[in-house]
Amino acid sequence: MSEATLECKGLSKHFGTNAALHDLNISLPTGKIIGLLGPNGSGKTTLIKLACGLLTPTEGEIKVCGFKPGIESKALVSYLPERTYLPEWMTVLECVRYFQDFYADFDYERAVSMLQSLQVPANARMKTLSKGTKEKVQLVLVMSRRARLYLLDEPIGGVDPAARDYILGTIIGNYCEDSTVLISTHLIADVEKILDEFIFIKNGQLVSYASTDSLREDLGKSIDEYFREVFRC
Amino acid sequence: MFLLIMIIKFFLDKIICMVYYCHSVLVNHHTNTICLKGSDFLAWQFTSDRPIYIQVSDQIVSDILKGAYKMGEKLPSVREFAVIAAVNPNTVQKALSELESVGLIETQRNTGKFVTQERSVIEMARKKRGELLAVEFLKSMAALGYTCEQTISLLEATKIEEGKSDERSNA
Amino acid sequence: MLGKLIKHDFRSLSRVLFPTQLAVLGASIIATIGFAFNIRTGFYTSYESGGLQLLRVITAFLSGIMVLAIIAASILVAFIIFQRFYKNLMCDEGYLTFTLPVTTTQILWSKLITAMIWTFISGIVIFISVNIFVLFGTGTSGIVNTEAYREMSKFIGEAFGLLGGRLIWPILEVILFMIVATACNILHVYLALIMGGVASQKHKILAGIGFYFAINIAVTIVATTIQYFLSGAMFRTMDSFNGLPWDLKNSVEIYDLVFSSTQPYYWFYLLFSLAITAGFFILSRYFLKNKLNLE
Repeated sequence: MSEATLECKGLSKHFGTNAALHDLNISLPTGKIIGLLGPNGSGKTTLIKLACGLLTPTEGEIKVCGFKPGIESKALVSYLPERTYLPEWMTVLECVRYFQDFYADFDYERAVSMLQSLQVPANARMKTLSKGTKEKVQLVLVMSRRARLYLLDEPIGGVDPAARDYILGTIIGNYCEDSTVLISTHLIADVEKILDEFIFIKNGQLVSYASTDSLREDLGKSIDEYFREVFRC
Repeated sequence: MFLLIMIIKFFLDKIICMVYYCHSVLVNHHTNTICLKGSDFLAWQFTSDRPIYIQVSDQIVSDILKGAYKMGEKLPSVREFAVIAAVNPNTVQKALSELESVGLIETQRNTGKFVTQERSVIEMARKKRGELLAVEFLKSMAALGYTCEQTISLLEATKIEEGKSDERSNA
Repeated sequence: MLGKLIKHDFRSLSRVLFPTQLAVLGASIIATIGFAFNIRTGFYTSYESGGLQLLRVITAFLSGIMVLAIIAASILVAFIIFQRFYKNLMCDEGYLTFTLPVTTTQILWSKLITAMIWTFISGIVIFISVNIFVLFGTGTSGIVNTEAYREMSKFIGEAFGLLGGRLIWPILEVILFMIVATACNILHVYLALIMGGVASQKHKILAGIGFYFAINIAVTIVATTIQYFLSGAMFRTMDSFNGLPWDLKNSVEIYDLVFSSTQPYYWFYLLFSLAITAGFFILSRYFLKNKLNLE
């Protein structure tokens, strides 16, 4: 697949006078797990929201698998936001059915078996689950889709180390050559081992985009160390 | 009337869902999902100065030399390795390609990857690994101030001590 | 996709609203029993025993329950419809709704249609409740009171006999207008909520209330200006009624005259409402698609 999963050309997003993203040019290939890394307020979430179609660009263009954000792109993108976004009144099973109803690429059996291995009761209302369990359910639903682009916004923030391992393991196990996984996170050290490439973003602008291996080979540094260097306060 | 139909449909839907879910639970599907248990995470440790794929291939070579994977034995798939080591599958792929290029691993197209049957290749790897360790060891000792001869006599002395404590523990 | 949206939206509304409608029906049954008891056994007379008096008070109170239930249920239906809209589009659930592979237009249509269906259901339930009360509760002799219905059907029979098929038109026009008015009101609140959400992150609902009145004022201004220009035409029509020999015409001719002269105004007003409704819809879509930023 030579077509880039996510492509930004001169992408800018302004909120009033504040430029959340400025003149971003990037092209993400398929079959890679890529980290979107940067300090708070650097524009990571804005970029992800633009790719999902939750925001419209002020300037420039953004395309997902060649489509502008819209009904076709949304069918190809699986988004995991930072917050819990499933309706509180729905049961776990109802959420699964909801996803199955709207997304053609949803794998029902996979979702059910993952929930089963997590021992989440099917008829529990989302309201009654703990925060960590809610996040796991959301992750299961997002990863049970055979999407082309997975956008994970802070998937391992706010969960215990064992849950982090489970989440990273799920991401790895879900890997597919036809899809791209973009992980936005602060917890670089935890995530580094699974990243093929990484993007550094600061003040809405691209700082670097390279592969993990080349960083280690050329500079002998891990992404975590390099990050601390580049973004030193 | 319309309301009644909606009610019936709603409950019917629910019942069908429940049946399907229970069925999957009972039949215990193990599809593409790798069911992870706590023990699967062997927590491979990586340093930050070298590419991860090189460290992964080193770890696999160590495992082969230790005998964890015998000659001609089938290796776990790329995906399984990725999950066990908690690294990117592309990284594992690269690591395995490295080993394939030196001949330690061979791919049989539809069956997977196997440790080589050639003893000479393994012995060569063992020798190289031993040499690397030796060089590193001598360098470390030199940094501490030992000369080559002092290092060798220290090794001899340690060997004798180890032998004695072995006897004691066996007796 | 639209069908699926409607199905899920309807389900989420029914979950809360269906029990309330049952409660209304239940209340009407209780009220019917209470009122029927009172009416059958004569009303309060001073020489009744204390126990009986207490019973009367209780049953009279129960009759009032139905009215309360209807009012409460109507408010609740409206409240829940708008609450679900707000939660599903402007709060955290919005992350789910707006990443579904559906267009904004479809989302809005689904919300509008399910709101209208539930308004309609609520209306039907109220109608049924009142009918139960009238039918079973107000009869002084026997169980069923068909007096009111007999009178009603007599009147309708007479009207149809006199005017025949002509009666269909005003009925249809009233129904059409009710549908458009309902949609207009619903979209009015929707638009206000959306604009409130876009304008202020922290005080979405407060801003929404503000926008509700702002939109109201804006529409009233537009409507008044148009009416100003039309009022001339209206007076002329009124004048034309003066010289007519009213006493010489029969009821059919009177009816025809009145009906046909009010037609243009009706259609104009209907189209105006339709235009406003469409305007609300288009604006809602614009703000949802381009200006909404969920936090």
